[in-house]
Amino acid sequence: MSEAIIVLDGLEKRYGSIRALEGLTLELPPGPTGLLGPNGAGKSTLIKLLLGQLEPSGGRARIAGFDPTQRAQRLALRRKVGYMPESDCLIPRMNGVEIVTALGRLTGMTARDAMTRAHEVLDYVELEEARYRGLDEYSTGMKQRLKLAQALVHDPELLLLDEPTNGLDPKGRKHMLELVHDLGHAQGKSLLLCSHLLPDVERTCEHIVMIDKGRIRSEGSIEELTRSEANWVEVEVEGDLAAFQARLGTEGYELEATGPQRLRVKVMEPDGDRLFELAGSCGAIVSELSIERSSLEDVFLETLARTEVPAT
Amino acid sequence: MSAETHLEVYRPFLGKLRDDPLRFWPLTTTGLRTALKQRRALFILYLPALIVTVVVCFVVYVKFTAEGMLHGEGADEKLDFQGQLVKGMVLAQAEQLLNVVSLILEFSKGMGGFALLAVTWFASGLFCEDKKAGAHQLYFARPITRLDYFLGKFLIAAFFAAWAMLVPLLSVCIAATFCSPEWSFLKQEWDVFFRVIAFSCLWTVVASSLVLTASALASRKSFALLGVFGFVMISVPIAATLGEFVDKRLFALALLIDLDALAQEFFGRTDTENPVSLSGALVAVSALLAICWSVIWLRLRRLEVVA
Repeated sequence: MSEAIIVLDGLEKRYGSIRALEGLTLELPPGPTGLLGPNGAGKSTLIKLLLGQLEPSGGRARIAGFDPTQRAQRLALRRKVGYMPESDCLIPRMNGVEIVTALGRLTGMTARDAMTRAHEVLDYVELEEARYRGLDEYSTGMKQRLKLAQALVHDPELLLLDEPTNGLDPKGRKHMLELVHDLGHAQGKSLLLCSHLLPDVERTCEHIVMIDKGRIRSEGSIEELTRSEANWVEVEVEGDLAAFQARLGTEGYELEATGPQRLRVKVMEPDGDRLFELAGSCGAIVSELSIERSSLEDVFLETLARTEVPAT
Repeated sequence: MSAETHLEVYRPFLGKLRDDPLRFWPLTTTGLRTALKQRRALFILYLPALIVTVVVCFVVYVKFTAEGMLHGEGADEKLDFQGQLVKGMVLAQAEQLLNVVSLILEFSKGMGGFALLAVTWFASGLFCEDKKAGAHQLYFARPITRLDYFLGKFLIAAFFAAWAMLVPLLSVCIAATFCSPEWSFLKQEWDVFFRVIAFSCLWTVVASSLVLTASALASRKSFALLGVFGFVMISVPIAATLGEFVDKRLFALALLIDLDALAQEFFGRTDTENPVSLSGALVAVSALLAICWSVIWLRLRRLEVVA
């Protein structure tokens, strides 16, 4: 695994007696990561701590090698990080290209670079037609894409995206998720996608961190987390299906027919290799096998239920 | 590679990000460009100031022209006794009423009103509108500190104050220089330029700080506007009442009286009737600035980093 892009070591945030985050410790690899959690779990608080917009009550964090609590490092860190806030936070009386240019210049770009780059990123998020329009003429989807554009203007290596699909219609959501997926996969950006929408995370990220009531409940790659001990597999069989079914029955497998030559079988081994042997022994061939994984939602709900703790 | 829904590709940025010490400058230029879009407000707030400036410059021109005509060679030969008497009276009046430095002093007092209106209109939303819109989240995700943020906004306020105070006063000085015979104004009263610049800068700093403080405290621009005018207008009767009945030094509680006292001192026209002494005015203005900057500093901390 390459060097972690985000390292948390016992990170805490308290507001008086309320503990927003409790002792978060983790190391996130580069690449797209989803920060999952219900509303009020502490996701936005964590993002603000990572940016140095909040001061931690305890513990430490390092993002892209920088400590956000140190002033000089915080400034250096913000050149490497692009932040898309959750709230509607655009600057009044400016049009799209002015906002992106201004924020590019604030990050350290020359006026010329910032202007060129603003046009490039606005093209990328498909706001080329609306770039000179005032913000009051922007739809919610356009505002979200503009917020993404301003986060991208300085080409950061890490993107912190706080609920990027909030308030979007299905088409806008699809578009936003495609952009996020493209950035995380094709463009090789590291990103932390903060969302309570599991399908969004499932579609765009490879790694997830589940957080609830200020604590990390689960963390790992989506593949690992959705793999359960007992898997259902779906097989397509060529040859004597009845003999294969009978053989599986005598071996104690739980199964059900799902089509003329298809079966759904519950296996204990992770990849279902034993099925090939059993099919061969009774004159059948497994021509297709697909492993059914539990959905991220199942894992999420299960994790929350398993780690339920009384509220502090 | 592009996202599926469109043809545009993501292009990496191949330039370099600079660590510019003037990090506040983009904030200022962007803020000014945005504020200058309010053309109607610019017209309403600056047109009267422009008209007054033109009128005062014309008065200065008339004064020097009249003086030149009356002092001109051979002018006395054609006049009889009555004519010379009238000429003497006119000259005396011109000397007394149209002393350029006194005119600039009075002009500065008059322009204070326009300038305060302008700077309040354009600068009272600088902090509170950012906070209301949540734009500070975007700014403080960039490599800037709250000092940069403050300086960036302060210069916007100062720009509008300077255009309503420094520029008109300097225009009058320049008009006097060109209208006076043989550059006599520049030769004899050269220090007025420096006095004008110094007083305008002081006035600009005070007005900008006051307006930005109101903006940092208020949740809306309209509240900040009311706050500034409330403070300026109410402080005069309160200070006058306290000064009259409790202690004369309490006149210094009124910002306008302090600025008048400072203006008289700056232009060398000390008014013995002014209830506030120079030291009293300086202490009051310094205290006001200290309070303003402390409030702004504390309020901006909440925008930059929340403890």
